[in-house]
Amino acid sequence: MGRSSSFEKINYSLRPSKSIERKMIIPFLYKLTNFDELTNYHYIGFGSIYYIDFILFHKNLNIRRMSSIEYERNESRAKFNLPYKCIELFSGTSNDKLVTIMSNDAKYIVWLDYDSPISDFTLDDIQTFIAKSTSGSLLMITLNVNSDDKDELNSKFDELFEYRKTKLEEKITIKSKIPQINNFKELNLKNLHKVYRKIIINEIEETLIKKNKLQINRYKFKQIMNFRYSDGVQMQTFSFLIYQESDEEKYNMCKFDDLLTFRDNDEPYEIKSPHLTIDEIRKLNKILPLDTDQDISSVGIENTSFINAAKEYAEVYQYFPNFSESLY
Amino acid sequence: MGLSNFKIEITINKEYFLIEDNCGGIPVSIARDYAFKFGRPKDVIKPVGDVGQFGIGMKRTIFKVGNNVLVESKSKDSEFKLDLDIIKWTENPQNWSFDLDVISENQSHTLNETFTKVKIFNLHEPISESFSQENFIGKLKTEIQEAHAYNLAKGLNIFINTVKLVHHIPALKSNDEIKMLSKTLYLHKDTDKEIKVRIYAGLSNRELNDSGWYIYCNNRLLVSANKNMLTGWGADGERKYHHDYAFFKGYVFFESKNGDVLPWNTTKDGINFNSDVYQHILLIMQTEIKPILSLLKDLGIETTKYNKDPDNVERIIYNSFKNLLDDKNKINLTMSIPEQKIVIPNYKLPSTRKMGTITYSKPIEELQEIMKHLGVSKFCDVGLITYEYYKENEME
Repeated sequence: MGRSSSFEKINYSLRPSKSIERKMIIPFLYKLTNFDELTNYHYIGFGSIYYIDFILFHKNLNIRRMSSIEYERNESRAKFNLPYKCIELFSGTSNDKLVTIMSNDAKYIVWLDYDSPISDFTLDDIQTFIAKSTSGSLLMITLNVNSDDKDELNSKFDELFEYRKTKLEEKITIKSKIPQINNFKELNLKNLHKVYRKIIINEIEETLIKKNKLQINRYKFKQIMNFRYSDGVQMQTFSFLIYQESDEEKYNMCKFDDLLTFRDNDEPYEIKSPHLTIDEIRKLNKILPLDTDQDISSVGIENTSFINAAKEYAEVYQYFPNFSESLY
Repeated sequence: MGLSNFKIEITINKEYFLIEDNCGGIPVSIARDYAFKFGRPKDVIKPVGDVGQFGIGMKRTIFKVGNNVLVESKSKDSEFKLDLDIIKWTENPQNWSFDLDVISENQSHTLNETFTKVKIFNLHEPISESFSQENFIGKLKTEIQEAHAYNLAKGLNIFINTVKLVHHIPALKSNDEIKMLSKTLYLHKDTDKEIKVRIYAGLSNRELNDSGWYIYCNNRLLVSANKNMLTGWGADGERKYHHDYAFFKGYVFFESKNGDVLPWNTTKDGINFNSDVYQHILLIMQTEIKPILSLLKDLGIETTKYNKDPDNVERIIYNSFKNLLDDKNKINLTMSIPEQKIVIPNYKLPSTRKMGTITYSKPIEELQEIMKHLGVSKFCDVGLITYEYYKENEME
């Protein structure tokens, strides 16, 4: 959990893009079986009071060792809502709890699902993860990647650029950790995630150098995910796998790049969640998956916004959430 | 095993420097081939776990201090005497070793009988001057106390001009609620480069000057109360040292039979920051203490909140601290300590209400009228009571 509890602002289960992302992550995690049985993996996340990721990973992947970190002030609710016995709740911040939880020499899947932008706090957690992780451990970091905007709408570009630079320096207080930024476009909404990614990778590399001192069997890392989505706020999830050189073969066997959502660079996979009615969805499902030369417009509703939504749906339909009002 | 049976006595004055000990003596073979020879031949078996590396430290020191030296030593199986006039000795530039005066080998002495005595006299002028200053002696005491704190804590007796040196025992506070870190690891295990590293970190009484990291190599203190980048503060996204952390103390002991592999600098009075061994351990130091630093930061927040709103704020962290620090028991780090991870108490930071201030002016006649109505005698009560009235009657 980041600095504030986002569940107070939004109902987690009603974020369609987030929901798609979680399901798109599952095939990546499944491939970790090339390193070890998933029952030997330990999942650490910010379960909030909904534990959606925990439920999903337990049900679909049979991960049985799970730890959730949640603010002390939400402790009683977080405790009440624990869905399974195998989830242990830690009250506090990831900065102080992560090192305690990651002390069993297990393989870890850690999802630092912040709702905040990057900060010293993020780098502190990355350092802990790298220091404590074993070969085959996976780190996922979700950040708010919105650009900072000045209140005055008509501020000049160079003013806005300076403002955004200052804001970034407030978040990352050690200047040497901010990469060289030359063009104002680099801090725009479209590109800010690239700067964040660079900062994260630099931190991983710097910590790995220390971790690798005295190591004959050196650790390395590979980026395997880069998801970009928005449920109102622009978010991005970066994921990195840490493994030792001796496990190179296991990494190759994972074949992460077989997944259409695999991304190892700064061009993210963009998650779209189209707005469709239940009837439209039913109609579309009947022709999915599409044959290679098939056109989605063959469904027969002549409407541009529908066609666009249908195209997006064809990409994500297997991960698409089912929302409807339920009475209980 | 303690060291309380061992004694080192140093006498320093403007006439001479004398150091005597009962710590086993120097065997003749070591004296002849090693201690009193310039440089060290490669094939000599070095004393185990030692500090000296280059084989010129003691001799160079003697040369710097005075012109005459008298060395006497009795070890378990031998004894010797060396009476040297350095000016005479340097007259022969071919001569690179010292001649021992009295040598008896193949003897049998008990440990109690052994001793070493080194007396340097005919001091050089500036040295003699320093040796007669009280401040110099005082500084020497402090330096020896620091550098040999670990052995002093183990019971070694060191005297300077008959004054017994006191020791700072490396110690931490720990109980079931707030547990210190105790971690031992071996680098290059089972090789001739093996290093044993012990890391202890936790809390002790609040001492701004003494808090921070302490680092020892083969029990010699190299880094004391460090709070800067050398020990990971304010670097690598790590937290900058802040006075909230004044309760923190951490100790790292590097030990090896082979002094060459320890992460000290060439003069053996500091840490070699860039050495692989130190970098490796530094990451562990930085990572493992995070829970303690968070706790200390939150203690600071809790205290601030308490000071603002004492009726409303429960001091959970403070009370755990008080229990720990009031307890007179300390964990002496020279004793063996079981492996354990840092444990911090479960706490919730108190939530405080954000407060706003209202000030406004109203015509005095109106105010007096309302004061009468309400039966109060101060303007501010009018504000308070009308506010409360509105809140009670008009708010959901």
